[in-house]
Amino acid sequence: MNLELDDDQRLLKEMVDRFAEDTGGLDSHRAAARTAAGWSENAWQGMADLGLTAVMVSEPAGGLGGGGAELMILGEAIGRHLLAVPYLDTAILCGTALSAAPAPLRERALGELLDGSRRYALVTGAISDDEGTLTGKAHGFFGCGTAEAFIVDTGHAFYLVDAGAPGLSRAARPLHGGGTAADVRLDGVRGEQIAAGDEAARLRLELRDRRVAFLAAEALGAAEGAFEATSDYLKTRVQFGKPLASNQALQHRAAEMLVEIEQLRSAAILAACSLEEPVADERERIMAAVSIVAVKTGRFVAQQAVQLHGGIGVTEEHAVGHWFLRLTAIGLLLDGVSATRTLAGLGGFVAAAPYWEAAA
Amino acid sequence: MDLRPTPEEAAFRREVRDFIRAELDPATHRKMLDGRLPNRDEVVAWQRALNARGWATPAWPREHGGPGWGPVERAIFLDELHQAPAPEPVSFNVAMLGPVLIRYGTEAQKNRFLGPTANLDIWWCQGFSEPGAGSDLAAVRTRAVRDGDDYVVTGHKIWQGMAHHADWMFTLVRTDPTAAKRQAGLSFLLIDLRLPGVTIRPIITIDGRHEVNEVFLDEVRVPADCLVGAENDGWTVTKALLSSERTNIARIGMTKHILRRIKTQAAGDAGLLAKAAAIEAELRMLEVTQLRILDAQRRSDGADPRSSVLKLKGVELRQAASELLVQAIGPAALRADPEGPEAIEDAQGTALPNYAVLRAASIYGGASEVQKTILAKNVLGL
Ligand SMILES: Cc1cc2nc3c(=O)[nH]c(=O)nc-3n(C[C@H](O)[C@H](O)[C@H](O)COP(=O)(O)OP(=O)(O)OC[C@H]3O[C@@H](n4cnc5c(N)ncnc54)[C@H](O)[C@@H]3O)c2cc1C
Repeated sequence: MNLELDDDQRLLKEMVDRFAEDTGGLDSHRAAARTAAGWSENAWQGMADLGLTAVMVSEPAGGLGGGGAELMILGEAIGRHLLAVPYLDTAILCGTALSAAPAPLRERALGELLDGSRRYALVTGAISDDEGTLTGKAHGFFGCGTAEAFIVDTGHAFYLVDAGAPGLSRAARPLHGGGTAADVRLDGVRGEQIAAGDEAARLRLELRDRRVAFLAAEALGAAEGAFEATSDYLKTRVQFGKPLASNQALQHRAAEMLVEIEQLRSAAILAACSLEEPVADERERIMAAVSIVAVKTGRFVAQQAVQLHGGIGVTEEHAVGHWFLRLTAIGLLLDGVSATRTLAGLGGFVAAAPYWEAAA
Repeated sequence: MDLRPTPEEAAFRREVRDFIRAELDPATHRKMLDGRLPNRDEVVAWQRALNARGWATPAWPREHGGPGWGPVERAIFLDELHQAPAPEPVSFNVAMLGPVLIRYGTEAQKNRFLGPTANLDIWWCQGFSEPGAGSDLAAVRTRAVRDGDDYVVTGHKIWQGMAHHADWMFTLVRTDPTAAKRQAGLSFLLIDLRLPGVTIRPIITIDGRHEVNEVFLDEVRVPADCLVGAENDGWTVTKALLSSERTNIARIGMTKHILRRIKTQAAGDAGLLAKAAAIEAELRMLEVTQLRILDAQRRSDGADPRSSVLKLKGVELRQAASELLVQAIGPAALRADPEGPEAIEDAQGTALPNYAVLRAASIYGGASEVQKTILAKNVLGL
């Protein structure tokens, strides 16, 4: 066990935190939500210029080969400062998928992703694949309405397709909180294969785990932001002639939020430390448990943060409402209900057998 | 970042487990597996077996007979006991009194008490609470008046766990009723329960068992050499005692044991197993929280305010698991034993009493409401 960051990680954290603090925040988040893409081009380009888009791309593919700690640093800062960037969808999911592509495709496509010049998004669906000619319906969330290229997970293989390719059409719709989702129709569209067979199956799990770990870290950042705002508000807002914080009922609520945030931090750390867990079932159990806890704690902190702000908490003008919405979205994406089913289906962490038999 | 145990930690865990398997009396183990309580003789035998191995006093320094473990080893040891499950060394002796005697006791007191305390030749109970002093411990009224070489002690203590098994009691008494600050008039006194004037009355808890007691003190003459620390400085000693073993309060291994029983009971019931999974997910994170605190302790061993988190969440999950076990058994959990709860021999019969009495876990050792106030004050600066 060792939970310290190493020197490189500490430097990365300083840089990412400073960047997110300078570039993010309520105003830029609100402005970004009104754009078609739903993110701040300025912030995204800034991350590309600093090389931050390449942090989670493997070293052979030309990235920095970041692991769980780096992922957590990025997720936490983005959540904390409401930084409106497609980091998960583009840099992590598409970047990881493209890292697995054959060299020529990888070099071309990944280069355009990392320098911020081309917008990628991941869509999934049951797609029939006739030697690289794809037919069927896929869908995806953030960034799919404005993507210039799609990575398509057909259920069997991963392909790269151009958004303007003949036979491709999409129906975009806006998302609560900004950005666009899309249903994508593929009608005999030519795709370039990224991975198939066992390699595609491995990649799908890698994307699952990175997605859970990033969302848990982002939830942690958002919960911390919401909590700090709440704690400040309790100390400064005066009613009945005294600060709200002097009421024990509210002190205890704040303490309960803190307990849940510690649990959430543990969930984010556990996910980050488990990306390389070699036993597949154990990794799946951990990611399910992380999802369950991130959903539960995120919802509690989000709801209490709004409640303790009073009326201002339900307005679009205050950051706390935006953290609330983001935590709500993360809760839906992590899907606590199916994660609970998954963990139970895998038998949970302890077996029915007595300890000495199970641990023998 | 890495949460995995080091090879040394894994080997240590194995060593502890092998020792418990080899040395724990199978009858005691059977009781613990079924959620029954070991009797006095069984607890004493087990503590002596641990003491013979040098493991009865995990938190004591080596020069006083401790094993010289760091916080991580201590946590592993306790976790193996909880998961086995096996009795813990009596915490009044080894987690509470021992460390403060080592820190505040005179040489004579250490020589007299430490050995018998480790070996459970003396069983200690904790005489802090009173009818008027619960969460507000500084309200203690039991009086100790110096008279020659003795203190004459009169008062009413309540909730003494295992006092009916105990030989001695450590207490907080009032030596200066005129002190400007209530805390400044208190002293820490060791009382031999065989002294004239001591009466112990049982209190039966809602599980039907006899675990706690009232202790009445009626002009008990306690030799003055039983004072620990300076007169009127008992609050300092008490605070140190109450803060001991802060990181081991999550009791995660105990909750895992209850979860194992739930899984045996609920096999095939998807609804119950989903509820168990929800508890397990949180418990897994609490384990990480505990590791984070242990990791920080290796670098600095000051009090960690996050230990309130361990207590609050640890108790919440243990109570939730005990409740789910009762639900899994259903109305059959209501079946009692005609001979009383201590005679219950089947695993199902202990679930309801254990659930009921576990409600106390959020009341003693710093009630949950008090923990929340501490968290809010310390961590939030509210
Ligand atoms: C099973 C069991 C074993 C015990 N063993 C021992 C023992 O061995 N030795 C010993 O000395 N004592 C022991 N105790 C006593 C224990 O320490 C006290 O019960 C505890 O300190 C609470 O005190 P109280 O019961 O008087 O409750 P109170 O302090 O009266 O509290 C009642 C309720 O009010 C809440 N409350 C109190 N103050 C506040 C506040 N300021 N703000 C908000 N809420 C508040 C509490 O959280 C609780 O919910 C034991 C108790 C139990 C139940």
